[in-house]
Amino acid sequence: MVGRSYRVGDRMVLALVAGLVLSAGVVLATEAQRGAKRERRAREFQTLLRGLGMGASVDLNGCAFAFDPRLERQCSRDLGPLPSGSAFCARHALSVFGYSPLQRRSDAHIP
Amino acid sequence: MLTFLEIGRTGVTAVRLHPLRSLVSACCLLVVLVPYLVGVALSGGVAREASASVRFGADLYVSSEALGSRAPLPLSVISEFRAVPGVTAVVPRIVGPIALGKDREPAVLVGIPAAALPAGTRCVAGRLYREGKSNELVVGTEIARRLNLRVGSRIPPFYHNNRGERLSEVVGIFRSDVSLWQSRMILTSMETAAAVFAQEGMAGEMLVYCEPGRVEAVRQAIWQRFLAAAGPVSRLRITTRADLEALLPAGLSHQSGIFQLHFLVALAATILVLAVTSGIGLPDRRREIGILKATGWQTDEILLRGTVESLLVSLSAACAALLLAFAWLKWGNGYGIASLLLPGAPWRPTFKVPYDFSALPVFLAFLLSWLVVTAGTLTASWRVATVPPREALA
Repeated sequence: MVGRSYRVGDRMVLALVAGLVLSAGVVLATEAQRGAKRERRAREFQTLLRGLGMGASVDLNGCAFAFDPRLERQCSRDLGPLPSGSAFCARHALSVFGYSPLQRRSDAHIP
Repeated sequence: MLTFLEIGRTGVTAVRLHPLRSLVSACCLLVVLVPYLVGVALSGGVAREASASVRFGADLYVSSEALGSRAPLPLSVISEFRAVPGVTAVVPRIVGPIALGKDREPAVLVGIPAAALPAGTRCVAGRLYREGKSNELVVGTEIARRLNLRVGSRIPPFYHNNRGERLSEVVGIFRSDVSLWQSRMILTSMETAAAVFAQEGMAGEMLVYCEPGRVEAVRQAIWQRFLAAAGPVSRLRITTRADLEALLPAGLSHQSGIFQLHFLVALAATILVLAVTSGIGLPDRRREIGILKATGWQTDEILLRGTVESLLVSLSAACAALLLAFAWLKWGNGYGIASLLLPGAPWRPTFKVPYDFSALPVFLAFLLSWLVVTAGTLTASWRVATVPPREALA
């Protein structure tokens, strides 16, 4: 009787774990299929704006580079040569999406 | 083989025998894994939108620089750019920061000629602006919420211009699910944007579209043409799509910020997991392993039992972490954490937080948690299993 109840308990634990694994698999599978809809929305917005926004910041407050490197090629508060120098900018320290400064390869002088 | 399976089954029993230990270990893992997965998913979502921003943008972004800062370009250069062989279109654009309302809400003002707007846009509730004398604006969701704006609302003059200041009218509001960057954006005509910044006849940048395969030739031609011109008053900046694509990171290499934050939390929480699996639960584990040894179990069998127990706890924790992270982002819309990880976002975002879940981070989360739990369990089990049962039971 005791052995039987142990087996039932074990099966419940295994069923719980299997349920969690299955649910996680379903989440990953359904998320992978939502790509087309997201792509259409992003395309429409970016076609309207003609390409604007790239960083994790949602405004230009303090650091335009964190919003879009097309507006500022590098962060003015980036103390790069120092270890973790970029962390001095509040817009970068906790950002989930970092990128390096734009290279200056296409500059010219105009009158 | 059957023996191994039977021993493995006792690992399942071990999870049940000490529910508090299993629960505390799983909870400690969740504390580490949920923010990690949320951060990685947010990072993936921003990366996806950034990629779209580069792909659906212009081929070249040409702006000017004076005294080391970004400076406007005269609209007269449009005809010069159009004359460059290989150029198909040139669109001027103004992008700049402004502040609105009594609380000086920061916003991003974008000016694009109405003639350059695509037809049939569905990302705006209301309509897009028209060229004309009145200032017509399309505003982002966060600006609309903070200033209590609706389609048809009028905004009193918020700028100073010698030519006069006008009322502005909200003709459209961006839909919340189109992008995170729309939330504090105000889109309007070139004339209105130039008037707001008092820069009539100027543009912040020129967006140059080129014939396929001629981008580099156009870039060189623009560069040569303006380099040859006399009098270096200001510098020209040319950013190509390739320059921007080079900034887009691949795979898991783009979470530098989240990792810096998260590893601090992970370090603190995994110490708790190790303490629970190896130290706090030790008296129970000693007694249990002592009985098993006394009934004839070998050390390797006890370690296998512990490995299965750790596997179940960490697998459950990793899967539960994914489900919680998914729920937090999908139904909770990143409540709380979005303001921490997306600079400028409010506590409760008014835009649909971008996220992307993929299998690799979940697998890494599971691997990390298994490593931590197994290290704690096996260390404690090994210490007890290698002593005589009498000592273990004492």
